[in-house]
Amino acid sequence: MSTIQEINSARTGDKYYKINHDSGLTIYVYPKDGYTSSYGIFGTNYGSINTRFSVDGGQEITVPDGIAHYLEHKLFESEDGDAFTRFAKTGASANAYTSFEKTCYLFSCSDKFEENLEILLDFVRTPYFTAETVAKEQGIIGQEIKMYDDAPDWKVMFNLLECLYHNHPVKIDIAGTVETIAQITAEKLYQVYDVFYSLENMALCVAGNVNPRQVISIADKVLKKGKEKKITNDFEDEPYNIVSTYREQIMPVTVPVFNLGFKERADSRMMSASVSAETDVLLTMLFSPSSELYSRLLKENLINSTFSFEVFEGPGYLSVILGGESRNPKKAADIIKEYINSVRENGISRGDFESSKKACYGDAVSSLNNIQNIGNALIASHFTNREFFKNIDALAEVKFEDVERRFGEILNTSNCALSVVKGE
Amino acid sequence: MEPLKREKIGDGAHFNSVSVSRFKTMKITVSAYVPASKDTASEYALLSDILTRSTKDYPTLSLLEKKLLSLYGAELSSEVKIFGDMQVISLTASGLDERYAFDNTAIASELSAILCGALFEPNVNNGAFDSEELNQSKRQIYDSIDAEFSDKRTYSVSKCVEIMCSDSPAGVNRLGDKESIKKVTEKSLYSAWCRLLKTARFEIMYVADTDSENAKKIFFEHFNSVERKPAELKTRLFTAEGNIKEVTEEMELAQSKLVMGFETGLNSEYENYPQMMLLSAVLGGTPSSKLFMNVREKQSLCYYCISRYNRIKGYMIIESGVETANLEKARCSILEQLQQLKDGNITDFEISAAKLAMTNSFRSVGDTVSGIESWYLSRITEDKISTPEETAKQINAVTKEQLVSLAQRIKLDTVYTLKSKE
Repeated sequence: MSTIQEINSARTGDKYYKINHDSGLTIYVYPKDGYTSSYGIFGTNYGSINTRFSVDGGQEITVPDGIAHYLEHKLFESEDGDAFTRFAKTGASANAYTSFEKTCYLFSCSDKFEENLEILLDFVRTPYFTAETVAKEQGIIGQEIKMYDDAPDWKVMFNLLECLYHNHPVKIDIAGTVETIAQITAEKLYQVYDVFYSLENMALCVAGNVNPRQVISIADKVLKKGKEKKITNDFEDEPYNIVSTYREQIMPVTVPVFNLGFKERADSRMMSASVSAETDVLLTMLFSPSSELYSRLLKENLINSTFSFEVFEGPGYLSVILGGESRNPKKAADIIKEYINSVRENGISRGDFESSKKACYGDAVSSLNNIQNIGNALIASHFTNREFFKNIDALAEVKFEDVERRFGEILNTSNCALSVVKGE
Repeated sequence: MEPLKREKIGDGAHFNSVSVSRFKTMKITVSAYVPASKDTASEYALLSDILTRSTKDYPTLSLLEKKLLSLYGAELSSEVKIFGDMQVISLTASGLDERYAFDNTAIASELSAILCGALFEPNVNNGAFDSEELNQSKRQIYDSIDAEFSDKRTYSVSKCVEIMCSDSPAGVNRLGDKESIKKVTEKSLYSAWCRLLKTARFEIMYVADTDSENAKKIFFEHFNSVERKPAELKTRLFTAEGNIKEVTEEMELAQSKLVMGFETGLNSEYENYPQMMLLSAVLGGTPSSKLFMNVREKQSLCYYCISRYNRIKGYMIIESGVETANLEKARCSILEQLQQLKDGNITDFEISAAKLAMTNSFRSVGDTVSGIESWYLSRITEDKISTPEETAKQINAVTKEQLVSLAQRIKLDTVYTLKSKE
């Protein structure tokens, strides 16, 4: 029997249901009162980094870079037409994406939710690949890759990841290259599908104008329990130290863009909700537009309003990346490093802490407005073994001393790299 | 979706509000509409930046940002765009709904006051803006102009529009140009600010659960303390010149971009607009559209190939990213799909898929704060402001015959190609 659990957030008044479905799939249902539309996202814990693996203790298998993304494109096709045509008959807007660590298929609709959910579950559960359909996609994905090759923001990030990571496949472009995708065949697609698309390795999240009863009834109808598999992902050991400190690429841009990345210690488990909250508050204190650093960089004409920061995290990798446009990225990077060291020496301020904590909390609560955000965040929480509302509670409860401690663990200025894309 | 409540609070100034309780955030935007002109575009672009950088109460960005941070990470931002033959300068304050604050911070009235401060009480002294702030704003707008060049998709579309509308205010760059930015002084910008307050048409949009009376009162008092003489705003629909304008640029790129601009032949921005929106969706607005199904899926020529209809100016754009060797093939294939529409080769499935997709997206507008805001704001200059439900109804009533006769009025005007060097 499927089991159902109700999870409430006292702080926000929101709630969701977690269902362990008979088929082995975990399902989340997040009703939003007063909303007209619904969002469904069905994904697998499998992304571009999973290129070496073994199943049930068998031999290690290596597959071409970009295959998870290629599979995402091809799964939309079935023997009798494609999923877009099926969604076209209901009016739902459907899409999919592949990230470093997951592949997700999704739809938004304001009508016929149950029918759309059934199409989603059905097309993802019914692979159909032939030599001909696989060949047809080479041109389309080839152009997708080239579009990203011309995107300075994308190139500057991957160049940074190559500076930070020796072995981890996170440094490889999600879509692969024109050469690696040429090696993809229908057989290889079936092989990775069979391994990574088992229901135990997947999750379904729906949010909006929905209730658990209708979701369970569709899941009962479409999903069948398969054979459980034990997947072992093989990542070569990744040392803490970086590969190189600087990388530069010339592209047709007028204002250079940069990424400054701090490589942090990471293992296959993600940060806990509380460590993640401490990190968010710390970074907001140090780098937000209200910080001393931001004012100084502006005054010296080294950044503009595109300056931003993020935590970049997944299985086996964690880094803090700052970036934006700058006419002098090297000088900006030097000042950032100098500032981190001086704050470390002099200590962080309690006043900044209180405001930053409120701001991070405000952001987290605000994200509950949007059903797409909710669905995406629920599935991300599931794959990283975090309870979704814990992130908000952790932000409301974070302590000054914990943020101080966290500062001692990250942002080592001798373990960072700078990547720059500039014009000739 | 909740209806719009529209109240006049001054000469050419309206306070619009949507009272809605399902969200955890609130948003207030004040938009100033002025005639787009090369002579003033740079000044107004600078104003959009400088007004949100500091105010009389918060005379540095750092002080302003510290205040916003303590209001649960609220934001004060600005946007400048070309809308028809107008330039629109928008200042926005957004933040957490006060029901979710730990303490009893009155976020809505704090944000109304900050937004009003930004527009009416900037950081000025003796008839001049602060010179350090002006330098920062100049640098920011320069960088924004350069950044538009870096994003080749945005760049190629704006190039096409610029060529197509070169003799019309709609062809003015939203950010102005570097030469005139250089010439702006602390005093000339102050005059531009006074001119904006006096001559622009103002639309305030308030979307929140918190009652709007307090915010309305603050804006009402400010608008009635300045002299107002709103300028006349008109947008002329785009008409093709006759000869097709062809412009090609070459750069070191992996992918070439092909952008085409068309006249739609409509006589007014209101005439047939639901039909034209549907036509654009059938042609290249959804994964069931002619462009997606043929240029991408059948011929594998591209990853994206889409059409977009600019309602207020009445033109249509089709854009795609392709291999240089396939540029000609893609162009023929795109024009062939348009010809199919003109010849009446449209299936019932293509029409119903586009209608369903549009209905679906209209019905979802009310589920986001920004969806509600932008729906109403993009229609605010119209005599009758329709709701998404009303527009969906009009679109669902469009017939195939209407689409075909509209398609026959569409004329190619401009082809802009950004070619990657072999």
